[in-house]
Amino acid sequence: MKKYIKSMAFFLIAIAVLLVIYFVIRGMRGVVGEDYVRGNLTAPAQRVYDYAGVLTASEEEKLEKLIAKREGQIGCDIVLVILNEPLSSYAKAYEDVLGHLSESEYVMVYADNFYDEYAFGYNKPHGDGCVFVDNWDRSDSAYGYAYNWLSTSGRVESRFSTSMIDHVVDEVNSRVNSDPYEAYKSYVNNIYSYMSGHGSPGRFVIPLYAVVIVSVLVAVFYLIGNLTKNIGARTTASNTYVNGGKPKMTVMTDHFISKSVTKRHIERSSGGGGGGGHHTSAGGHSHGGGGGHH
Amino acid sequence: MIYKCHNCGGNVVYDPQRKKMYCAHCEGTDSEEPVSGGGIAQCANCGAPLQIKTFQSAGKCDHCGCYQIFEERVSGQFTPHLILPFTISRQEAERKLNTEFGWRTFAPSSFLSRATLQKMEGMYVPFFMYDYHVHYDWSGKGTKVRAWTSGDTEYTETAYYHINRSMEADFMRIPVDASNAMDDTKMDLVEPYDYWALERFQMKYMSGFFSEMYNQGSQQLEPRAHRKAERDAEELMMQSIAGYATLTPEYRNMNVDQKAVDYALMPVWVYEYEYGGETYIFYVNGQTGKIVGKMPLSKPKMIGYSASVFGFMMIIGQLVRMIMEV
Repeated sequence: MKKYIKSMAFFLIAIAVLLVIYFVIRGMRGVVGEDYVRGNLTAPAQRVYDYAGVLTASEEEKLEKLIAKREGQIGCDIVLVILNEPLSSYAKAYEDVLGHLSESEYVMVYADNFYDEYAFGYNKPHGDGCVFVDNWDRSDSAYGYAYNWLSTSGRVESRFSTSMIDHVVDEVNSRVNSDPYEAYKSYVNNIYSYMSGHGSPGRFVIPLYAVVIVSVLVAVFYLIGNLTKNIGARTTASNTYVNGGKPKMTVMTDHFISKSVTKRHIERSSGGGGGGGHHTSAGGHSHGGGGGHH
Repeated sequence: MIYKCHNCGGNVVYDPQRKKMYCAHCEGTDSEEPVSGGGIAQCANCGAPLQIKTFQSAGKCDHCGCYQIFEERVSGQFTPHLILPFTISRQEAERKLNTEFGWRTFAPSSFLSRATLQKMEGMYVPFFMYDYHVHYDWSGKGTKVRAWTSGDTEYTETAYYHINRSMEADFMRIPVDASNAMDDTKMDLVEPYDYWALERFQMKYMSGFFSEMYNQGSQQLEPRAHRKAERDAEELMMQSIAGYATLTPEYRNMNVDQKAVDYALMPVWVYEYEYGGETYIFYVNGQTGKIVGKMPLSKPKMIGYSASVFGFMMIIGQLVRMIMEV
C-alpha cells in the first residue's frame, strides 16, 4: 500500500493542488463579480429556443442556468435559437426592404427579427444583448450547408468586431456536429468572455475527449517508462581486448580515381488564401453580426 | 576440503572487502588451515551428504553451512592458471541490485526481498582466455558524395577512390565461459573484467564461494573466441575506413592465429528469482558490479498502476477544465 502511494504521489499532490486552486478561484469570483440590474422586464424569460429538438431537456436547462449567470455578470441578454426549417421564402419576403439576400443571410433576417420581435435587451427593450440562431435545415443551400448567425445589439454590437464574431461562430461550428451542447455552451461563455474581459478573449476550451486522450497517453508512457528496466547493455568495444588499445595499420592508402557530376532540376510550387458588418434590420433596429455554417 | 580457523575451528572464507581470509566466528584474519576430508559426497565438517553437481568444484553444505572445495577438480590438469578474486562483497552486490532496480514499480513485491536475496551465491565461473594475432588485408572501392544547389538545379558529385588497408592486432585474453549452466549471451554481457586484478591461482580464494571447473575443453570452445576476434577485427577495420558514402570490398583476407590460452576463474554473484513459473537469473560482475538480467513483471501491478494513472489523469483533466470555466 505504501509503495502504491509513493508511486502515485505526484498525481495525488497535483489533484490536491488543483482542488485548492479551484476553490480559491471560485471563492474569489464569487466575491468580485458585480451583478448588473435587469432593466427590461417585458421580454420573455426563456433564452433557449430549441425548435429543432437538438438538445435534451436537461441540456436546455443547464444552458438556461449558465445564460442566467452570465447575463448577470455582463449585463447583456444571451439568446439561443435552434431551428430546422427552410427560411428562403421567409427571408425573401424582406428583400424589398433589405435588398438582395444571399443564402447565408436568410438566417440573419430571422435572427434580427427574432431579437426585435421579442424586444430582448438586458437594460431595456431592444437593448444590450445578442441572439445566435442555428438552422440545421440544409435545403436553402446549394452547397448543402446548415447556416447560423450571431446577431448583436447595443453594447454587444459596439464591443464585437468582425473577427470576434467570427471566432465565436467558428468555435460553435467546430464542434456543433459532434457535441451541440458543448458548442452552444462555448457560444454563451465566449460572449461572456469577450464582454467581461475575463479569461483571455478567444479563451481556449478543453473538450472532454482531449482529457481522455491525454490521460491514455500519460498512462501509456507511464507503462512503457517503467517497463524498460532490462539492463545489461554491451559495454565492450571492438578494441577492448586489443593489446595497446588500438590496432596497427601497416597499410592505409586512399587513391582518388575519378569523379562524375549529375544534375537535377528542382520543382518549385506556390500557393495563396480571403469577412460581415453593421446593418439595419427589417424592424428598423441596428444590428451587428456575422455567420457561418456547418 | 575446508579451510578451518586454527584459533576456533570455524569456517574461514575469503572476504572481498577486507581482502583477506576471515573467520566470522572469532573475527580472526588469515587464520586458515586447510583440512582435507569429505569429498564430493560428504561434508568435510559435519559428515552430512552433499548434493554436488557434475562440474562443481566448490560449494556449501546445506546442513552446517560450511564452504568446501573439491580439490580433485582444481588440481592436476584441472588447475586453473589464473583467478580474479571477488572484489564485491555480498552486501555490496545486494546494494547494487537494489540501486539498479530501485524504481521497480511493476516488479512483484518479493523481488529482491531479504528472503530471496539470502539465497544469492557468489560463483567462480570457469573461463578460457584466448590470445590471438590477427592480420587483416582489405582492399576495395569507395565513393564520396557531395551535393549542392545553385538556383533551380541540384548538383551531385560522386568521387571514386581505391582503398587499401592492412591491419595487425594482438587480441589478449578474449574470454569464453566454459560452463554449460551459465547463459552464454548473459555471460558475454557481464564483461569486461579488469584484468589487472588477475592473479596466479590460489585455492584459498575459492573459500566462501561456489565454483565450477571447465565443462568443455579449450579446443571445443575456441570457435566462440575466434568469432569474437573476427567480429572485433572487422569492426576495427571498418572504423579505419571512415568518411565514405558507399564501400565495395574487392579483396578481404583475415588471418586469426591463436597464440595462447589460459584457464581462469572469474567472479560472478548469481541471484535467482522465481515468479510465475519462470526463473529470472541476474548476474552481478564480482569485480565491477555490472548487472545483467531482465526484471520480472507483475501483470496485475502493471494493469493496476496504469489504470490508476489513467484515472488520476482524468480527475486532473476535469479539475483543469473546471478551473478554466470558473
